[in-house]
Amino acid sequence: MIEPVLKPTLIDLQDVDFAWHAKAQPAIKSAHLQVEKHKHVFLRGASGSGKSTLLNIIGGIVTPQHGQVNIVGHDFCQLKGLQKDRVRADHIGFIFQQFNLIPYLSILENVILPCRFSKLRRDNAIKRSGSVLEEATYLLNRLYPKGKFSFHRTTSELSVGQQQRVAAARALIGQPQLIIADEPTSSLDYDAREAFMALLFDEIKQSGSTLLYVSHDPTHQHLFDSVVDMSLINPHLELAL
Amino acid sequence: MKLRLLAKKSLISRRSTAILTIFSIAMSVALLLGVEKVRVNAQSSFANTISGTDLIVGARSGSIQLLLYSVFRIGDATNNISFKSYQDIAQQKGVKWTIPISLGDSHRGFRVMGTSRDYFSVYQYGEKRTLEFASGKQFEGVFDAVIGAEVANALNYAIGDQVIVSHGTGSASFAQHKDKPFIISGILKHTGTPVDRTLHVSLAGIEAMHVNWQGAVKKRKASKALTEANLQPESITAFLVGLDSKIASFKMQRYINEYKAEPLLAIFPGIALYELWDLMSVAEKALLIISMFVVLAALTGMLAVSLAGLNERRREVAILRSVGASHWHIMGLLITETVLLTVVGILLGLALLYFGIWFAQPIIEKTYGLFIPVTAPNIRELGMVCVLLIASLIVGLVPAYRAYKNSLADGMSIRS
Amino acid sequence: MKNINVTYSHFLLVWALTIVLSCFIGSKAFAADITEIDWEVLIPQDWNPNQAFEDMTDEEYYALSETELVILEQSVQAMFDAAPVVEAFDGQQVRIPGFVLPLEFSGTLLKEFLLVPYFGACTHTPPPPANQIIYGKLKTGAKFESIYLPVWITGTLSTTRSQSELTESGVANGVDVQSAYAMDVQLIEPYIE
Repeated sequence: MIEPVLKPTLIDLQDVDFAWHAKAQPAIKSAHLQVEKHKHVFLRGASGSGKSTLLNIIGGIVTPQHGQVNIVGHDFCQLKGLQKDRVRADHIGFIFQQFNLIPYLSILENVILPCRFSKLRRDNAIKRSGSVLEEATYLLNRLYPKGKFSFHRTTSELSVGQQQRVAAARALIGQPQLIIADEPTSSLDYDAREAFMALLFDEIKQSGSTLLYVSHDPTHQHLFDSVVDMSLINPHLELAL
Repeated sequence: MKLRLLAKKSLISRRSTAILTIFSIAMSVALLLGVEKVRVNAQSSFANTISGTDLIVGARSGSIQLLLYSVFRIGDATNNISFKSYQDIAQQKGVKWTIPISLGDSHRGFRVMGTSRDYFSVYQYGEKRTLEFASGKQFEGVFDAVIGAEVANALNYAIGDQVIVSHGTGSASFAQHKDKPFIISGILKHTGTPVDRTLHVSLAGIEAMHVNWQGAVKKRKASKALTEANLQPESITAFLVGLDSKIASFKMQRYINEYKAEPLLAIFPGIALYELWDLMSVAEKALLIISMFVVLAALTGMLAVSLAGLNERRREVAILRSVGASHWHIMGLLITETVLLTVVGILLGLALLYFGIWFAQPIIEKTYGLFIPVTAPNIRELGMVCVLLIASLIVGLVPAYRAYKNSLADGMSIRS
Repeated sequence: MKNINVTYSHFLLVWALTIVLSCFIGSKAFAADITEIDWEVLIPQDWNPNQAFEDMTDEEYYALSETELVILEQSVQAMFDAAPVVEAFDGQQVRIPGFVLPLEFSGTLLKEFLLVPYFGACTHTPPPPANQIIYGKLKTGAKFESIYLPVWITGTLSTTRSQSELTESGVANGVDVQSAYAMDVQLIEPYIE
């Protein structure tokens, strides 16, 4: 068992350097980032500023060449790959800009995916709704208040907006401590976007999850506790043009 | 097990390529196991035909050749042996029984064999089984014939039917003994040996057919009556020998091989059979190697399909990584897909094989006298299946490793 | 539920161990009674078909006429045919190497055969004498690969009485009840130097 050191900060990055290849330019140099528990942070940055790379580091998918990475109380630099996978499964939910769903699984099967990899989230879901499937259905119903289609359908028939909401349900199931959303509404039209944001915040307030929201569109900045610019986090990086 | 479920769903979504892959594996498995089945059953079919015979004697030729034409009715003798020599040897001390065999004629593709009446009580096959009559009895008159089960079936013969025998052993003959029809006096029970495909007549019958018959031309009609008394054959093709003591086999064989009056060959059926199997083993090994290459081709095809599809699955891998799947999970998923395809392919292949055997069994038995039973796979066949499964696992490692490498480069950046 | 599983697998384990152990003990007991023999001991000590030749001096041998030689050789051959057996081997469990001449099959498995001391007994002149041939039978067919390779045969020998009566000239007379060694074969193993 990995014993987390309890800290008020959920994400703590100190002086992190990372390059994707040994000989390439570092995408992240001397980066600093702190996010406290239960906070909703809007991360603003242009393309090429290293946003995706940062998310990969926070998610434990890649290991930085230099610096400290502390997520949900775990020192990622000390953990092995499998252990980081475990932490990610248990505590982090991701929403991407597009292509969030696995095409050969049904909507419900997509939503319950995290519970297949995390016992913690599985138990949380069962605690709240009795079974994983029921929890998934509950979340989907909340995110689709007017939805009238079967959740057993494959995802290929859904519109982009619908897909994004399924992705949100998947990120939220089992109430992980940290939700990371990478431009989740970029592909949505105005109405869908509003609906999405409203429902997302509603759920997060209920579960008390921390939200790290990455976007280049400032429209919804006001909903967040704090707004951080990538240039502050990643100061030394010359934007590759 | 989440991997198995994911693998199953993933394959179902890519049905068309999955089905093709399964089919190619199935066919290669059916071929591999089919070759093995034919090999084993050919061997036992041959072994099943010989029992209780100590020596086979014929004109001097090769031992395999003698075995083939005298017992299996495959091929022809190069020469006949004189009836006198046969009688002389049959009377030797230590000889318990002899069965003379006269070949060279046929009836609608089935061989006609002249022999003595003792044949029906003395000849053994399988594990010391003697012949039984399904109906009728052995020949009494000169022109009586006893036919095997397959002949009766194929040509729809019953007791009392007339048959015209042709000269030569081809499937057709333009020289028929039309004036000497035979009458079926008995039908034998099924034996699973070349006996089923033979018409048996008396030696006198063979002789009678050829009276006044030279080449393909009939000479003038005979004036003498055709009775057994004046129908002693001058020569026969071969004869089977049973001795009082098996220990004396060597001595008798030596005696016959050194027989002064005529060049003869006496063989031990068991030895000749092993020499035959030895000969066949070369062909068998070749067939086996070819089948293995076919299996290899099927596996390679599966590998190609899997690798080709990897690119469009990078998204899927990134999603799985984001929900907490480890690299091992990803690799496990791909290997499971490969193994699953192979398992289904093997099962389908077995089904194809058994269906094929069931369907072709009667045809093969009729044409080649080879009986292939529908039996469960033996140890060797199961071993082949296991090796195939292990091979599929190894094959699965290749796309698994590729996907792992891709995932390292991609992270969670879902490239479209 | 769990308890039932535990006891079932325990039972299987004990059963399997018992089988293995009893096979081991059984085979050891079996092994204790087997005598390894070679072909020479199967010939009675006082039987020497070549006696006539050995008693002759070189001069006498070369002085033989063609017909005399033929008659002598024939009598030797007759002695070969009527060779006596060593009664003491009746019922003995032995292990002897030799070459197999297959006689009867069950499927592709071997059921009856003749065992001889050298390969090519059917082509070499003269054939082995009767007391150098063993007629082996197996209760259950055994897999047998090649007639060209020697094997170890293990089993129980039995003998039938020999009744070779030789006349003065050494030619076998009377009823030729072939004397014979037969064996209930238990094991065929490849012969490795």
